[in-house]
Amino acid sequence: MKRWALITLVMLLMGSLFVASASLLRASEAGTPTEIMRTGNQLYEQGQYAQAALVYEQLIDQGYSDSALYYNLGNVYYRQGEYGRAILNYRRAQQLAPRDADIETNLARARDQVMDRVEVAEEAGVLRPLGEMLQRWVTLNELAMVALAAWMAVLFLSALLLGAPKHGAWHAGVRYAQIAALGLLLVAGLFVGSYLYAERSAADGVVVADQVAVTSGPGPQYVTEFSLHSGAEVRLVDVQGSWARLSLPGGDLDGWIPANAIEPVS
Amino acid sequence: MKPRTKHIIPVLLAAAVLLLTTGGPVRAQSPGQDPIFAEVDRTSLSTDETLTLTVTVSGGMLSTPRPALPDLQGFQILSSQSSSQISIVNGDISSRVVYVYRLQPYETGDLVIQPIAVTVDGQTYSTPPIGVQVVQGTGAPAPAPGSLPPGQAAQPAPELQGQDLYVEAEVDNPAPYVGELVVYTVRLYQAANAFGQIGYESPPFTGFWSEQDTSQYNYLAEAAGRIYDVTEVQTLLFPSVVGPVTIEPAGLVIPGSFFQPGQRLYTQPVALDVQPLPPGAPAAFEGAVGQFSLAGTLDAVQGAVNEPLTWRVTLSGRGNLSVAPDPMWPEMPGWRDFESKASIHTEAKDGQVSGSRVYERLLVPSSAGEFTLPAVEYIYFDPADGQYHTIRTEPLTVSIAPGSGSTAGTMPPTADPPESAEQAAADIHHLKPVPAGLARATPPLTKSALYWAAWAVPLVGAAGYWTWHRRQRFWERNAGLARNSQARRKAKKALAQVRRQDRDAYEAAGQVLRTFLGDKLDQPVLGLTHQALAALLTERGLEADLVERVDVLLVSSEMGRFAPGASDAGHAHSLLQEVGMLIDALERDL
Repeated sequence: MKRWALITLVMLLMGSLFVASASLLRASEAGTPTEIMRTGNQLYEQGQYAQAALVYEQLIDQGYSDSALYYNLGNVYYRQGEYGRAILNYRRAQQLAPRDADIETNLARARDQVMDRVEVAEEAGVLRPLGEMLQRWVTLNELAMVALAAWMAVLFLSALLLGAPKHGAWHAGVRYAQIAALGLLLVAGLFVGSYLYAERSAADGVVVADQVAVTSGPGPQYVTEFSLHSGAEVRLVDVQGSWARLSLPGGDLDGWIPANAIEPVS
Repeated sequence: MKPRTKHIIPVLLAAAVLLLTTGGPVRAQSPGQDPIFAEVDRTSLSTDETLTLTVTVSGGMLSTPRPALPDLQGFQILSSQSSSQISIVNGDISSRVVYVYRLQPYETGDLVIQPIAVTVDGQTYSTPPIGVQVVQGTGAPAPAPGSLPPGQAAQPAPELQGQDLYVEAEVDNPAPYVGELVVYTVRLYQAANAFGQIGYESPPFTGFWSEQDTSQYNYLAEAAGRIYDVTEVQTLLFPSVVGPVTIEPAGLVIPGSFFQPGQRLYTQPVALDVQPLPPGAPAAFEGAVGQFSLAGTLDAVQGAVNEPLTWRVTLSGRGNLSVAPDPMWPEMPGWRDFESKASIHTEAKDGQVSGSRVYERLLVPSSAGEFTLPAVEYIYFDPADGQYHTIRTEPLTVSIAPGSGSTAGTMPPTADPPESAEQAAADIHHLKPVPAGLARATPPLTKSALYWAAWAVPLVGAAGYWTWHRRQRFWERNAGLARNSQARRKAKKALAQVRRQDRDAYEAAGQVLRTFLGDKLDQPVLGLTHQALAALLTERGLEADLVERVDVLLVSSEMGRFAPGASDAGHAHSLLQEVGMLIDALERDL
């Protein structure tokens, strides 16, 4: 009896920790910000896009980061013809809600308006392409929670096996469940690693200036290599002072532009 | 020809702003106290000049009410503009709408702008009266500096007498009403086309609002016995000042050739006498001049509570639609209304400016029933008949059904209006509704210590469980060792229990001692005689005095149990103490 009581205790402990961790995903609620966002929506309906953008931007400046907020801000910029900032905010919304069909549709329509078409060559390696693919489907937090759940399942099932009879269908069932949980843990761990690798190896940025000359060095005195237009999605390699180094997806072209002409997605 | 565009209105507005900042504007009320205040850019002026009246309505609401202008006795409104601003500071919403009216005085003396009122939340606020002194002007506005280059004074040609080149200028109406359309025409007569590209320098049109685009026509005409190629340039003007106004000469730059130097020709000045609008204007008249019509439509005749409808009002006709004042929107109790920007479509053709100005207003009904949207009014002055006209839209009826999940009379939610199917097919998807709570920006879980603690703590628990389980298995496999190691603790616990429960101490003392010895020796000793037990203890290497103490205690226990009169509570308890001390001693040697 004592053994089962201990197992139950361990199970409860794991469950409570899981719930506590899941609560990290939820943000605190506040009444006033929703009112402000409602004001922004009303301004949008009235066609006062610049004012609506001001309202949404203020909420973001106050530390709010909601997919609906970024999505609506993207719509405001789209309506104003600022496709760079529209794409930037749709991308930020997509990071928070990667499976949202509205965001995907509007992002595609904003991209249709962009002047620069970048042909992306297939990248070598496994981790970064895998991470980039995952970024379009799941959030890092979701993957982290799956990995944690798999880890807890592995531990719990191991504890069950330790105290269970060594033979019989029940033992076999628990053993298979343990192997499955272990497999899930490894896959989730690989996904988290590739996600983080893709995020850290090259941060994404979006050109927000109407047109910007890409120079060979961090300054206007260098040779202009090519030009980019608002909405071009690039890799943000480095920032030195007021200049940012970027490369186009695939890595064939790179150069420097003024840092205020580009905004990082994350 | 290369027309030079002139922007009269921006220049005037810039001048007004300059005056506001440098000329010491007179404020009827300081901002920040009441939701309305008014100011003028000057307190004394001549009839040649214009006065800028700025009315600011501010408050903590999203849509501010429009101020009600009083009867501006002695002034007429030339134009009105409005701009709005909404700011949010620490979650507090404040809005500010600035109305700018350009007024032309047509009377002299001490004029008074009566209080301007606005109603907010059922309470009416008004500004104090503003006094303005008006003196008689000279009749003509000040000429724009630099309109002609030094040393090249305008030399209007006397008349067409067969010259190779000749220019003239005229207006179609030398005595228009203020705000009435005037067509200014410059004609160039060329007897021969050997002069290349001719440059056109438009006059500054001080005192007029002009359409930016000019119209150009070419035709042949016979005059003074010669055939001329005539180029005609028309500029559409709207006088903004009353009284005599002169349009400065327009310039024509004739390029030179190898045989002939270039030259510059000027038209003669054109004088106009701009008439003020006749008295008797309705109180709500805001300065519209032309011929207009007004039509209103609703995108549906049936609706539902909380579902938006679009009310479209189209002002169309001839006149200066670009600066025409907005119609007066009626109060809409029981409806929430959202104003959108008006779209303007104008066309300058055949000496007329015509077009339309379309206003769209989003209406959200808050209750069910049959409703009639009130008429929208618009007042204008028609220079053709010299009368003020009031036009109205037809009242529109709409049937509102109860909305899903809503009850009549409830306030409508600020739900986002749906898009039309056509829009949805080609446009971006609509706004997201406001979520119940906005998420705050938080670092990813992988950067949270709590998250990694959630990984570590179960691991520690599992390790603890594994250790405990291993230990249990060990004791199960080594039962004798387990009994040996736990014998003293078990015996002490049993002694304490005996003391608490007031059991037979003699019996318990012997039983506890024998159980202890059995656990330590890993064999049952309850059936052994004293001699056999002593022999076993000696065999296990126990010292003789301890063997003897065991024997004595067991004998004492049995004596107390079985010998009548030998039992004594005090002795029994001391026996228990001795058993305890003996167990301690035996623990060290066994």
